[in-house]
Amino acid sequence: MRHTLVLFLLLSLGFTSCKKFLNTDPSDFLTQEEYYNTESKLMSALAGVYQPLGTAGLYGDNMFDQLGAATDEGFYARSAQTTGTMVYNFDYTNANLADFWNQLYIGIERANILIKNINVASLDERKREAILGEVMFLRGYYHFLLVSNFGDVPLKTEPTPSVSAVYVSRNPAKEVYAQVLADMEAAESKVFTATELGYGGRISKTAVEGILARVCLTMAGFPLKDESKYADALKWATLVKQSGEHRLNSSYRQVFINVHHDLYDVRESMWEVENKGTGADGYGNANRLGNTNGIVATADAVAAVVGYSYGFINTTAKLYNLYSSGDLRRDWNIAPYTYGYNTAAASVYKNYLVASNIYGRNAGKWRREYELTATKSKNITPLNFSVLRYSDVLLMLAEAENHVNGPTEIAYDAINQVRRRAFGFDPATAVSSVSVVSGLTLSGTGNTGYLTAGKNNLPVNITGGGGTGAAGEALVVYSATAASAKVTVLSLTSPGTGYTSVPAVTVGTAWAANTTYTSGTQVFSGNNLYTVTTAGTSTATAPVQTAGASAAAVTGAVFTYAGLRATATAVISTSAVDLAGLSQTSFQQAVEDERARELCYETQRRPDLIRWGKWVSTMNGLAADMKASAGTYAYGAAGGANITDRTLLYPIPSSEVSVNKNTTQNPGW
Amino acid sequence: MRKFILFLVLVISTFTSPAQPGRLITGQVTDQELKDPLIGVSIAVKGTNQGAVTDKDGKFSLRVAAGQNVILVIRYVGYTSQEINTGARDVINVTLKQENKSLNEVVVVGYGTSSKRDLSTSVGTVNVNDLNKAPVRSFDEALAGRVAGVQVTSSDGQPGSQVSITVRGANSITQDNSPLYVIDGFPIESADNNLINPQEIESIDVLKDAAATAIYGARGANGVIMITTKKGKSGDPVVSFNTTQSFTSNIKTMKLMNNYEYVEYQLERDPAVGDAANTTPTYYLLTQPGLSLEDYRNMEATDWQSPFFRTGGLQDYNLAIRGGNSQTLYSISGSANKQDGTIINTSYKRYQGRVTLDQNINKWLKAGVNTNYSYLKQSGNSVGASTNSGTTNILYSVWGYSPTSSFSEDEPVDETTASGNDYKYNPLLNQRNLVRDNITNSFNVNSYAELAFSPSLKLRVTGVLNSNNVLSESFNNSLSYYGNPQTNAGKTNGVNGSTLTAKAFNWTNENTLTWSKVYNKTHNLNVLGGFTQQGNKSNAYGYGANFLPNESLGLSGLDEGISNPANTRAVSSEWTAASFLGRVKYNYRSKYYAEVSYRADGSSKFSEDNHWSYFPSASAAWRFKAENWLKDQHVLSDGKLRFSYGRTGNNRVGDFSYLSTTSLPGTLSYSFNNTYLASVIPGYNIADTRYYVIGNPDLKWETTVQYNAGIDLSFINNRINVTVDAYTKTTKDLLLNADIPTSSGYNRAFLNIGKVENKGLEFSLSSTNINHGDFRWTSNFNIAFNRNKVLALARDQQVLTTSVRWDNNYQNTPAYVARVGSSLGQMYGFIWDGNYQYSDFNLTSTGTYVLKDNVPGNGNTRANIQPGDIRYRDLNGDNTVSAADYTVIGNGLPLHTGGFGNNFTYKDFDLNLFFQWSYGNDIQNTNRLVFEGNGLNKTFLQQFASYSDRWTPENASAENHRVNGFYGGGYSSRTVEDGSYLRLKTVSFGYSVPVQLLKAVHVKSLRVYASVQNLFTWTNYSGLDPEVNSYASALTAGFDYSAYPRGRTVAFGANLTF
Repeated sequence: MRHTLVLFLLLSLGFTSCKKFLNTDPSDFLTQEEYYNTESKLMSALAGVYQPLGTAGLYGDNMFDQLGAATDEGFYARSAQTTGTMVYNFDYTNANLADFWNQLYIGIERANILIKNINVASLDERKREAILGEVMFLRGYYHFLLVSNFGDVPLKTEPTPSVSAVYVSRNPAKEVYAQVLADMEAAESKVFTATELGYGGRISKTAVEGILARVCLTMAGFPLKDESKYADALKWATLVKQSGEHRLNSSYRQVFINVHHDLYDVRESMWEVENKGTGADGYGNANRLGNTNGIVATADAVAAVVGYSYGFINTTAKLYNLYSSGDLRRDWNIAPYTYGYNTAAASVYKNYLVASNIYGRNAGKWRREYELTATKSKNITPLNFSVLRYSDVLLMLAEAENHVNGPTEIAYDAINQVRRRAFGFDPATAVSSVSVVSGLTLSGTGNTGYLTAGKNNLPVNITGGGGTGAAGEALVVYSATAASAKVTVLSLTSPGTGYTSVPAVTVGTAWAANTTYTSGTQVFSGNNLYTVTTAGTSTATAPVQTAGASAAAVTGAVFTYAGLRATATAVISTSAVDLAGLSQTSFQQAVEDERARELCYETQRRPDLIRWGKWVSTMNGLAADMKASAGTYAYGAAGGANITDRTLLYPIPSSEVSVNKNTTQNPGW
Repeated sequence: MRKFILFLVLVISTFTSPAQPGRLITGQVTDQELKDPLIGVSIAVKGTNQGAVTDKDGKFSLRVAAGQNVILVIRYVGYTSQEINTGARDVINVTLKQENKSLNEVVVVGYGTSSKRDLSTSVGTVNVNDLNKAPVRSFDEALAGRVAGVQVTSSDGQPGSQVSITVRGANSITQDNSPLYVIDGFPIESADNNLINPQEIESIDVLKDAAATAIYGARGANGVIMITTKKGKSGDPVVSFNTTQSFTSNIKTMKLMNNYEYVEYQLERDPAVGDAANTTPTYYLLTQPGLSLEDYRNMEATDWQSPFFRTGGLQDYNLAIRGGNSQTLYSISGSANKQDGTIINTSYKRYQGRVTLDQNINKWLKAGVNTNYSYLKQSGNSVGASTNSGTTNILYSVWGYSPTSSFSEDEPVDETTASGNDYKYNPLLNQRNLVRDNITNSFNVNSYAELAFSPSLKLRVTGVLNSNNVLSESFNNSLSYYGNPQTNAGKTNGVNGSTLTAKAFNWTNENTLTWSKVYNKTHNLNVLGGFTQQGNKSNAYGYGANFLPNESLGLSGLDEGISNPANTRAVSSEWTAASFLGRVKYNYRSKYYAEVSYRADGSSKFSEDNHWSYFPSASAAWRFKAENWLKDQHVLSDGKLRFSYGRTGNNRVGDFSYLSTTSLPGTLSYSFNNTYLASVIPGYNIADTRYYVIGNPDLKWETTVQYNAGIDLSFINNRINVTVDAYTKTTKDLLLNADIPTSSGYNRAFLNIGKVENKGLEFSLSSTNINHGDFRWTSNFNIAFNRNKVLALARDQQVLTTSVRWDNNYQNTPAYVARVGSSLGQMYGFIWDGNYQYSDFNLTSTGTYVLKDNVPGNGNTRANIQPGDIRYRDLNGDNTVSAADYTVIGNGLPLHTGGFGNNFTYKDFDLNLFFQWSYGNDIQNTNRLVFEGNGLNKTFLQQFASYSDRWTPENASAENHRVNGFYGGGYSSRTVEDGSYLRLKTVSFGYSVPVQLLKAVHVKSLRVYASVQNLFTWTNYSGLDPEVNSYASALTAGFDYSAYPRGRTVAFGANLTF
């Protein structure tokens, strides 16, 4: 009996508590709502909605690199790259496309969850509204990138409820666009203004308006061709202009240098994808702006100084030739040099490319030499990516106005503001034309006795000719045939203005009286080139001998004859700045070209060409041209040659179609 | 060690000569049951080398020294041996009892034991004696080939590297396929087998079919390994001391290019002249040192392999005291074990102790406890480890380092290394300085009480507490690759380190009631019912920092550095499980057997609606030898047919996989106004942040249904025993870590989806080949065939490709494919078609070769393809090669595996030979991709000597492509090799010192032995070691990249008991 009792007790003890026993609660995470219940958590949730923008799938790399490589502005500068989106040889299993699609839907899901939980926390209603506005905008923006790249896509305005509800079908593009507009328009009235925010990392009212203009122009163009949207685009772009919150930075290059210096310029750069740090801090930055698409810097010694860059994107002659003389944007957007390393001097120099070498030029919009990080990471940069700049808004305004009302004063004002800044003028002041130094020609005579030690780059002085501001730089390299170094390339670093006649050009440093010279310095005097062999201060007597060393007693420092100096001549030309008197059609063409000049490598070209209905023909034409005339870079035609009608849309990635039979594939894929 | 040899010499020198002739002893030996005379029975005089053998009438005669008290030892195969003290008798008639040793052997099964004869299920038993002849630290290292159907693969030969054990093929596609371990009755899913000292193992039994494993219900689908540790035995205290001292040397190094070949290759690869600013091979190897290519002919290549490898070894000491009386049994044991790997700075240590106590409290109550404490320390950089780039694996540096650079132990980076994209680093310096320690402290208390209500009704209550604590330490000082200021990693992070402490606390309580009774001496009934519950709490906390200012402080200086959120980790979790189980066993006259079992399992890992699941099984056996019509059949000594069916489960998912998680990780921050803000991340998956996971509230068990048919046969007095089993198992509702449509905002979820089938045949044979006088030869052999087939994948999915992340260039390149209708583990890529030859080209007027229009390209731009370039087969006929031309190029799973063991004993000598093999599996030898043609295209990279024979205009028949003639785009069959091997795994030779010699020194027994592990391997595999599985998983079998090779171990040891 006693035994049975023990047995009974033991067993009953086991049975009773079973149900409770198996209901465990997670100790490592909370219920979803608890992540949205304070203001600071709500801000973190907002950060989570923005966060996909900076990932490698979107503006961290993919959009300006793999997906953005093949346009008529540039090509992927690796001859071995024969597959992938960079050369339009891919299928629906492509990983870059999957990453692009995935990150966009991750962003949408986070936005939907935040919207669902927007009222959980208690906080200032104005702030709540702004957060809601930003999130709605981002949901719209992510959908916009999807619908404009993939056509019909699943439209998602609710969080995914459960794993059983994930097998969704695609919604017609029109429905998706309608939601994009609805989300963004709702956001427009909710978010803070750019002035209130003070920085470009969060969406401002005018940024919403600017993107709305972009969406409307996209809808107005191919394939939707909803012409009524031109007026809407005009409305939104005009609102930006009228807000008075934005203006162009007076210097084009400064817009990008600011990015390298971690400075916000919310007047010009209206919305930026924020990046910070080099990845080493562990906070997850994976940005490669300037790293995959900068000026190539792969040699250890160069990369150590400048910052590593693969230089994947080179320019096309088409873009290069779109710039007229004096357009300062050309030599910024298209790097006229690569980097060389002088072992003897242990320094990096600019290895200027000869004028005829166009396809060999890297996209140079982002140059890590300007990056301020103390220890530059090999593969990660802290550069913010400008998704919307004011010049883009101005050009959209010009395009929309031209469509709706023809080339009016408003249209001209908008495009000309962009052009004036491009030539170095105040955007607000009319400028009809500019006369500049447009080229430097190296003479075939002289040019002997140069040393490379420490001096691969020499100054080029341009004087006279009635103008000011022109300057150049010379490249000196060792030549085995001449058994010495010589000046090989002259490059303009500034075209100057106001040249009425051909100015004089000198290469290198002229001898000067009463100047302290260090040993190894080279100066010219007359037609002769001298090397300082004993340091000292020059007297008033210039060296003139054509062999051997000068007497220190006579010339101060000892100048030893090295050879004959290099000489050069300048070429000048005149370019129109303000546009005038164009037909509606030619104005449209002018806008298209201006967009390439102004916005190249900023992920705008492919969508622009598609909405203008010119994608396939332009790219096929480019391929034919490159095959015929790009020489060793003819391989760069691969992308253009592979582009057919099916590439107007990307294929739905395998991460969606191979596991979802409710979805369909785009035609041709 | 030296003392032992001395002792041995002493013992042998006292060996005395045989006794003088005197007395004659005669007799007859007969069978106890049948009364037949037995022929060839061995009669030995104990302690001498005298003996006799019975004649055809079973008679023997033997002359011994007069007046002695002689002890005769009578041995006959299949019969129980006897020792008889003759006393004064001169006529000794002996009856021997047939022993059915193998059939009466006790096998540990779930919640009980069974004699082998009475089994109706498929259970494999490991011969622990033979297993322990292999000088290994952990039993799983010697398990391969011991039991049919148990496939053991280890990722490589590093001390402590992961060993994966699969019973009857992989069920799960993405989840863990390792079996459930039941250690002294305590079920544990992911056991660290290093915690157990193999010397303390009494038995290992493997439950294979579902009828055997269904009693473990939801966790039994992958098979169950039952491990029982040694306990005390009634009698005088026995003190045993075992020691092993072994020496392990590296078996093989790769043959690399000599200096001439290397320089020739480099010049061919990049013929540019170069200058100081642009150090091409010509500049660096010829111009700068002022040498010609010919000058390199007689220059000795710098050998980086030899100093990297060393002679390792194992030192193992075990001491145990076991004893007891009718009331109390006790056992106290401890061991110390230290293993040094064959690569510098790799080692493994274990200190371990165990105490067991069994006490009869009174007639109806018995209780006991079994506690174990283990301390493990694994040290050293894992040779297979990399960080994204395949150039960070250390063997890459060992093989790839320039042979023309002079040997240096302290120069971090060779001047030819382009460190921007090639992470070669002085391998000696790196290996010596990296700190990678894993320290485990594990404490286990296993207790029970057994109440006997009546002789037939028993209650057993057990309780187990287990605490496991793993500390991982990583430190990169300024001399290691990851912390050196000259490397990318070092520049980015400076001197850095991290620690992670993972704790798990596990408890189990099991209560079983057994009722066992025999009715009318014919009906044997055994009924079991029980209730069990188990709980587990775990957590892991870690911290890491970069830019440590004082590296001499080591990890103690972490607080001075800059905290790195990527190494900050804080996770905790728990699970609970409860079960009800029941089993009825019945047999009629040990002739007809039937058994049914049923288990209901509840697990907290699923939502409340899916907590419970039910696992029935049934089996039947017919021991036809017991039928009257076979009674007189003497060739067949036993025979039994078995059939079984059962359902088992698998619940290897995360503790809360059914829930969607949200997290706020600092590692995915976004910055506003240049200030970081951690992001709220729904679906965040800390284990692999590439995946965003949505919960699945409908998640439930994975279910495996298995049918098994087996036959056990014994012949000639059980001299030959054969077991054959055939099985088919189908696993459905697979717990698949499945891809889901990414428009959901997530890309992974656990789904019960997919189906896998495994069918197989297992054959085991054990035999006593010779048992004649002093000589005995026994063998055992087993072979297993398993065929695996995927029947379904995730919804609408036909193909699942898997990439191997050994290098970032290959992280999206599929290396393996699982297709519906074919097996897991199939290698995927291009079919290699040799090289392009001149005949494939048109020669243009400008002297360039242009590929003929009808010759397919290799994926490269057609204009760039030149004679001698690698060629792949264009399967879809589009005249080029792309992902569409991927096909199955190899199979990582073997057609059959097995083992063949032999034991020879002659007098006091014993010899054990154990062979183990794997046949029909392929290996993707990725080392060749890098070192036989420079597939990663690195400058100044040394190559295997085999690449000296490559395509050149003069050597167009060579298999290897020309220099710069490689084009990737996928894996290819070029580097797929037959991974079959036959290995003489263990050779052990022992000598047991005769007992009477030991008496004088109060030693009960002493055996000394020498053994060799991995003595010889027959294989066509060109890599270091065919026993390799660098990225082991069900989907990616047989991948080799920078794997730690297995060494050859020579061991000496002694087993001593007092």
